[in-house]
Amino acid sequence: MASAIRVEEVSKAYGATIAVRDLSLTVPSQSVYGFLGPNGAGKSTTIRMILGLQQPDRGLISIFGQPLKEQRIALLRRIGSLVESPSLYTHLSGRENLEIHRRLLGIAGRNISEALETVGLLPVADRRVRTYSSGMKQRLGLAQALLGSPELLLLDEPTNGLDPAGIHEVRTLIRELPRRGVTVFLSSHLLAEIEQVATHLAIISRGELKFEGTGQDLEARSIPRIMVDVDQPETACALLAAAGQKVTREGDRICIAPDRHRNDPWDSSRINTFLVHAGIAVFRLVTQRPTLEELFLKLTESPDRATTGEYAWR
Amino acid sequence: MAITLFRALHAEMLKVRGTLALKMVVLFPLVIVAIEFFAVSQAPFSSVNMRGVHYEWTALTLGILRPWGLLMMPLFVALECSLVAGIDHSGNQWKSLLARPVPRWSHYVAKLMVIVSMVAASTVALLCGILLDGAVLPHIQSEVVFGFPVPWAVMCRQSTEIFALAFLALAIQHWVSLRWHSFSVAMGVGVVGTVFGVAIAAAADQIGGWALYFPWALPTLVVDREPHNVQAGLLFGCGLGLIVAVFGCLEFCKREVV
Repeated sequence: MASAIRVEEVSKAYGATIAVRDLSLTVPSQSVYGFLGPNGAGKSTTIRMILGLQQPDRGLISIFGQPLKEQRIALLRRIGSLVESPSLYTHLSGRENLEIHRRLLGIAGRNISEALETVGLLPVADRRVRTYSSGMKQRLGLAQALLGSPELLLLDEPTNGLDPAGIHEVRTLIRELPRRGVTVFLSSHLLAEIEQVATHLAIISRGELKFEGTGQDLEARSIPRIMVDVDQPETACALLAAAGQKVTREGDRICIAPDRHRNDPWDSSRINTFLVHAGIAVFRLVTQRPTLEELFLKLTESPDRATTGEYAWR
Repeated sequence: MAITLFRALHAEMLKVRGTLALKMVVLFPLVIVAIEFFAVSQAPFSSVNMRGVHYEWTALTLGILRPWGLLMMPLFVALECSLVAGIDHSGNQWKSLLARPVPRWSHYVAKLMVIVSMVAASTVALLCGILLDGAVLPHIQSEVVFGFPVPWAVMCRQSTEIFALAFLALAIQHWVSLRWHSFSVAMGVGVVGTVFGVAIAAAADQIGGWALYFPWALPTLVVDREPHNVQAGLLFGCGLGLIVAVFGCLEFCKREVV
């Protein structure tokens, strides 16, 4: 699949603060590419660089195979964007706000009604934006991004301020877009938002890429923990540790993180046999795979908050 | 090139609809016209009839153009630049505007053209106000007689010269307003410039006519007690104004949107 966006070893610093460091991304065409990271991870800086609003200090960005630096204006014709909160002129109506962008794009007037209809704002299109709720403003921001039928849509937290019904509508719209030939680059700090629509994922933390691939790739990178309830937890812990297992205690429960780097990683059956042979009664034994949220938190946690032994990584 | 400029200009025209910036185009000249109307209606001989009959129009025009060029025009330029730039600073509109397929210089030039048009429109409004004063005053104050024909050529020339001489201050204000997001910074520069301009105009006899080439004092070249070379002022003001506009535009094009 051809790539819609290709970011190659891009770095950006604001004075002494490094916002993005050696970031490389490949966004496949007609995908919904979830760009995840905690606040301040460098997501907005990356989006701004992709839109040419900021220049990278190092590295290359190409869109639809063309270098952004040389072809910026031509490429922007094919891109719609909603960066952070929507930029709206509150003294004008919703329709007039879109009219400003229509004039800048040089497209036909009917595009405005189509975009308004898509986001469900047609009935209130002639009301001043200052009377809109935050959800309506967010929808208008989306309509602005959709104006001119872009081939690439960059959305930064598009469901901010929307009610559950609005979030559902936006998700449905985002899922539909690839079928119309649109690539969606969806940035968010909320995994739940990305998880439901994204076909591809990238996780960024402190300006560095931590993961890129599909949701399945991410899950495959994790190693499940084995949780065991026994009658003698202290003895069981000591025995397992002596056998070379990474063991932690969570109350009466023992938590074992198998080390895949070992030649013979212990699975649940082997742990059970080991404990029973040692005379320890096993009440419950569960293999627990970390949720995507836990994986995300693990990838993005700051080094000083990092704990050891919970999950192992390849 | 012309198409992208037209698109940006077309968008700018819609942005200023219903804004305070647009209302100020009429309100600012109206203040001066109203003050002069009040002054003449209270003391006609001290102002319009001072030099005798047939000079009423010229005296009235100068009576309005002097405070306009010295005080109101520089303040108006500062206010318009700040308000027009503020439309896009508020809510950081730049991140969506500059992500559109229109070159950055188009936005800068289109905004400059809108402000120049607003100042030109206020000059026209001022001329209409002078005519209105001249038409109404004789009915209020019987001692005031406005002869005909109206000296159109002089009135239009002087007000156009003031407008053109304000271009340098306008170009500076435009750059400052777009460079700094703060309304206070842009207005502060305008107010300080205007205060210095007034002080320089008042002390021009002592410090020399060259002092009137201070950007915010340039319009006073037209209505100075001993008129200096307006042509030289126009050449200086418009020439340097263009250089400032080009510099400002280049700086705007390189700036990053944070």
